[in-house]
Amino acid sequence: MREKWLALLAVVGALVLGAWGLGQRGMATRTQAAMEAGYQRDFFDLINQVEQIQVLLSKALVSGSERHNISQLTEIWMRANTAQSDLSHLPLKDVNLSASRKFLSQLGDYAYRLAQANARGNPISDKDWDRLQTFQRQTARFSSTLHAVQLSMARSGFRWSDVAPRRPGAAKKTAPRAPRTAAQTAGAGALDGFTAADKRLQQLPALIYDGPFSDHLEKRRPLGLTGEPVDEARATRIATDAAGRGQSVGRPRLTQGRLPTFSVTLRDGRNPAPIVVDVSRQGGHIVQMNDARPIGTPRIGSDEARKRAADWLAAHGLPGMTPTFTARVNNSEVITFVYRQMDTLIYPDQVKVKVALDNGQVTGLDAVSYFTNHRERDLPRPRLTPEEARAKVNRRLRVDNVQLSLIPTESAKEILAYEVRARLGRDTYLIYINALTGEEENILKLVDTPNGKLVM
Amino acid sequence: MKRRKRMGAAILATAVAGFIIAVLWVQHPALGQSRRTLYWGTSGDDVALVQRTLADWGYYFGAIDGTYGYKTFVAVRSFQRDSGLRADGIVGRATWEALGLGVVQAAPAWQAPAVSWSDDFWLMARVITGEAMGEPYTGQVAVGAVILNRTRHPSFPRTISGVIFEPWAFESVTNGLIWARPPTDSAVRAAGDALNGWDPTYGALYFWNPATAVSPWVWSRQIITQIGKHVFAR
Repeated sequence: MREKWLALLAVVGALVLGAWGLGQRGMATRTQAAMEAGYQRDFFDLINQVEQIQVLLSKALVSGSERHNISQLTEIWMRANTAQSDLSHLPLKDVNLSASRKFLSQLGDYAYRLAQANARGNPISDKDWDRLQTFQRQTARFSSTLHAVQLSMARSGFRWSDVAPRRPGAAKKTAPRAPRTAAQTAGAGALDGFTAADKRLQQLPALIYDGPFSDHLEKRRPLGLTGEPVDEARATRIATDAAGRGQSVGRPRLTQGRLPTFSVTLRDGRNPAPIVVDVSRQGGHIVQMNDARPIGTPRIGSDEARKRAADWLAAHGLPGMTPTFTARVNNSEVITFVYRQMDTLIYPDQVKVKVALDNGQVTGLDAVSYFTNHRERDLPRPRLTPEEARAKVNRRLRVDNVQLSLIPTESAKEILAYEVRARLGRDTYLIYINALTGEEENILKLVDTPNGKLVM
Repeated sequence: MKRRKRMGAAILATAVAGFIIAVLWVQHPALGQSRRTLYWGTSGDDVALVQRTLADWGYYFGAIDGTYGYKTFVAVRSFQRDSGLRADGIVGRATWEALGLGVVQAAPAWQAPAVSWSDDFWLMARVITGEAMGEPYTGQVAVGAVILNRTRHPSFPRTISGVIFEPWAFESVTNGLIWARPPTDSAVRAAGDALNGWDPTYGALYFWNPATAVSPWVWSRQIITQIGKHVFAR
């Protein structure tokens, strides 16, 4: 009798397992179908956008109307962004398409900058026209490659989910060891066109223009590092002095980025959290510092914190800095200082100082921006007076203050501008009026949050 | 005859039960990974994690072997004393949190200053938890900085979520680990510091663990520095 019950239990168990298995398989199939639909949609959208960009570029080249140019270039920018986004959604694991994505980003941003320049009354120069024509030819080739890839995919019954590895462990292998199915082989072949197009795009000459994706920005070297190179021992001594507590642990770590440094880690017996101080190899300047110790209840106020920060900067080779914005983070105050040259605030030369509010100790420093940009500059004389700048802002605003400043742009160019601080109702704005041309360069909104002023 | 049948049925039932549990376990990795209380005699990956962290901070000088022995006990007690906790040598929730490896409470210590940041901020904290848990704090901030640097580079998506969800960009996103664990306290602080502009890598776009197999292409990038177990490059 007992065996019968056990046998029944086993059969029921097997049936339940079977039903569950079928359910799981159904769910997996539906999920895979939904994913495939998403990938196909991204791919087809990519093809469509690139086609449209190619046509728009041709039209922009022959258009005689500046206003029409502006709308064409703006549409190119929008579509290039979408195309770049679509491309980054595709599950291309072993295929590296960073050159294609860079091409689309640069094209889009270049078109945007050109549209802006047009809107300011600068017509398309011959150089710009030639560049647009080069872009148009490259986009045409890219477009025909995409069409060829799509055709070969349609012929071979390619599915994007075949490219994606099925098992999580398979993602780690660099070459597949299991024999591929016909679909996977066909898929790999279809994507060869993509790879070839990317290789061609890698060989394009550098694009230098007035925008954040210009190739000249990759080659920037820090301008603010003065002095002789220091060795590890000296760097460690500088770091220990700056940190105020602790002894160095282990050898300094080397960083070899745009701003080569020695990164020194310090610890003391009383507090387990380490302090990390980055000292530049050239000149032994303190570039970054962070003390991760827990901070107790605040005992000092914002004014005192600002004073302590300014004193610390003056004592460590950074005098003449003016505090601008502050933010309260986790019982610490982060104050942004900028360099003042004569009566001009030089915003690119920026240092952020973090002060612990329990004892006023300076626990953090970020001077990367300062050492990347700082130098004594030959500033042009403003062509507008502060009153003229004041008159340029929107009539509805109440102006509080006008201050001459040097502001950075996305392409690392620097513009001399009047910073007009004005209010509309309860909102405060910073409006930057070019001191040479009177153009409104930028508007920043100051948002008051419980943690300090945020600049947006 | 009867006995064999009974044994057979019992084996079948056990096998079925074991199979179902195994499948559920594989589908829900979180089931195995909430923080255990550790004391003398326990062993496992979490013990190794504690040993590594305490070694980084200069308390532990033994081998990172994942076994909680005398040396680990002394190190934990020493750390607890320095941190103002009860020095009992037992790694409970308070000690896990003091180590920076605990689980975030309902009200995080770090408050994001602006509403417009909050989605990106929590997403970044999750990715930092998934990729760099147990790494030194600077290494965690560095992971956040890599994400931000990518948004500013033409070869990568323009938004933080675009960078994070790019297929196969981050292993913890690919295998779903970012959703399995809540963000750790130190990852939350690290995400905040990274979003405030701190970049210990001076512009890195890639990071990887040199001990694991990665695509050979990535080694051709210019290496900037190594923090903890991760190499950072551009």
